[in-house]
Amino acid sequence: MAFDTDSKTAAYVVAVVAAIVVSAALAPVVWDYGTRSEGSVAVVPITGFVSSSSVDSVADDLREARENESIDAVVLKVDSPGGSAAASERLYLAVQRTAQEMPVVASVQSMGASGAYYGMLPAERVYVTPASMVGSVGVRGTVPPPAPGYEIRSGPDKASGTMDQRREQIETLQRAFVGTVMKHRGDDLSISREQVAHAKVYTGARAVDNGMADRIGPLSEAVDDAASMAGLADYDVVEKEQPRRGGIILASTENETVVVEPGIGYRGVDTTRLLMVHGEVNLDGEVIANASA
Amino acid sequence: MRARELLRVGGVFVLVVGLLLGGTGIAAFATESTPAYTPVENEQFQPSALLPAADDETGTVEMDAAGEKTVVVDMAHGNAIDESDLEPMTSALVRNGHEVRVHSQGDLNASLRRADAYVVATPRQPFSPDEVAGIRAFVDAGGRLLLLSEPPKTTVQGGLFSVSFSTVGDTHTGVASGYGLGFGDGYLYDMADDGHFKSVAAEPTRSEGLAAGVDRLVLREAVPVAASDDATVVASDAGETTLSTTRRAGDHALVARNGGVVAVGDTDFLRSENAATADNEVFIGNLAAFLVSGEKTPGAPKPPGEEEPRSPGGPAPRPGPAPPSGGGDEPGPTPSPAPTPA
Repeated sequence: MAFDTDSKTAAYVVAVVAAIVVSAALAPVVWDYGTRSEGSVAVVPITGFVSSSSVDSVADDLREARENESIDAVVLKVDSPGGSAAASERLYLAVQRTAQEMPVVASVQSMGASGAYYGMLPAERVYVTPASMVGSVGVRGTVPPPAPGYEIRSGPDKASGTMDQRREQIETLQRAFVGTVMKHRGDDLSISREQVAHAKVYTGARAVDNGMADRIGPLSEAVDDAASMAGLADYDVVEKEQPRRGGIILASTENETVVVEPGIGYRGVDTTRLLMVHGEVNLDGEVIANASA
Repeated sequence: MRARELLRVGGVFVLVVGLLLGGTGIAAFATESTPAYTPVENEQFQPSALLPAADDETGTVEMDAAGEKTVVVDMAHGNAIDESDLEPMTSALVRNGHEVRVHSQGDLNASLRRADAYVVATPRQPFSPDEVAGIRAFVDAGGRLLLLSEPPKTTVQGGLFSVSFSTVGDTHTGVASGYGLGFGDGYLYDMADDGHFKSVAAEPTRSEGLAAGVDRLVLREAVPVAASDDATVVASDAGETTLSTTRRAGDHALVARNGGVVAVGDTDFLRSENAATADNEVFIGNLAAFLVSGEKTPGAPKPPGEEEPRSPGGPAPRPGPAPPSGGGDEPGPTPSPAPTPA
């Protein structure tokens, strides 16, 4: 009798201990499940010169956001003066595709001009601060000098073509750019298509006033707004890494290292360059990042 | 017996593996999701919305005035042009028997004495008082003067540690102002026009003389021409363009004439690549004909001390009445001799 009782007790103890062990193992999973957020907002940085390589990186981030079921909205953290025309168009298409599937909000840090502005046009809302700069809806082209005497070409337009052709190229890209601005922001703008095409850059306050941007606010507010658009009351923020820059460390000063990217064209070949970038362009080598700042 | 059992075990193994893999495959196939993305129609990217319509690029520069006149092209005042920039006009003159000379250094007045017309394009160094006086005597004697301008250019100078920007504009004023003509600053632009915002169209204000046969000029980078009441506006922008410095739209003159002097607010239209655009070739032919249409008194301007004593640097004589304008817009009086100072 006593033996049966002891064995039963032992069995209970073993069962309880086993239950505690199993519960201890499963408790974190249950806790995580109970405290799990409703979804995530991905913050995708668009920084520096918009080039083919930087757009590859941003497009990868955006594709991952689309394919990852836990990500419900995207915030573009923009700090860029623009870049090459073709890369800017690719950026626009990548953002547009993402904006079809989930809310996309842009938050301009200090500059979101020219090609960078092009890229953020599909965003539901554009956040700026009074000191940030947006706009510069325009295209510029640089052309190589005439063929040197030692070069033989297969056709008269092999290198650069005529001034008329260059004007036409610039006008074509300009129409695509301005047309895209009008498509996405035409209803919000208080300035005309012609004024947009002047390629002026606006401070954040002026941009909100004329409809080039939507709201004054920091990145956190843009993230909150994106989550709200996605119907998330409780969310996580997933910060994507900034695209790596393939540059050459050219010079080191006391507190900063300047990274310089070789010319925008191909090494050793002076090519026609169609750019959507605000500010003056140094075609010999462009400072694209500040490595230690 | 043992072999049969092994066979059964093997069969069971294959069956189980088949069921599991088959089920997995079916499950994978069943759960394959169709892409949620649907392509967007970006109407603004369609070629019909993007490609600009180009101006007519046909025609050649023709002129009717054959002869043996001499046209001098100024290259002695830091002119921001090459000889080739004026090629369509100079070629037309040469084809019709006229001579084109380049004055690049030395005494300008000596060059003008043997000339019938004088072309000054984008001078960046000022004319001396003697030269201004000589040009006035030249025009008063029936010589033709063509003034072409361009917007000021910003140049960058400097080395490793300092960079300075300077703006260099044309220096026509001393010459042009004596005929009630002048050139503005900045450049004219037209955002509504096809091609490029600096390509502005000019329409003639009349249908004869310099504007004969011209419906539309296309200037690639132009400054407005100021014309006094004494001068006549030959072509203007019809109020379509804006001046870059003031950002105000208005009615800007682009070609004006005062007797034997013509001012054009652009030089690029003369270049080979622009000469056939729209009706530019007709206008260039008219300009060439204008240059050789005068009847200049031989030997003007007179050398100093020969009938026209003039103190160096002294006040220049006022221009006389407009010379004749054979084939031009404004008939003038008969040729007058070189003016004498008061």
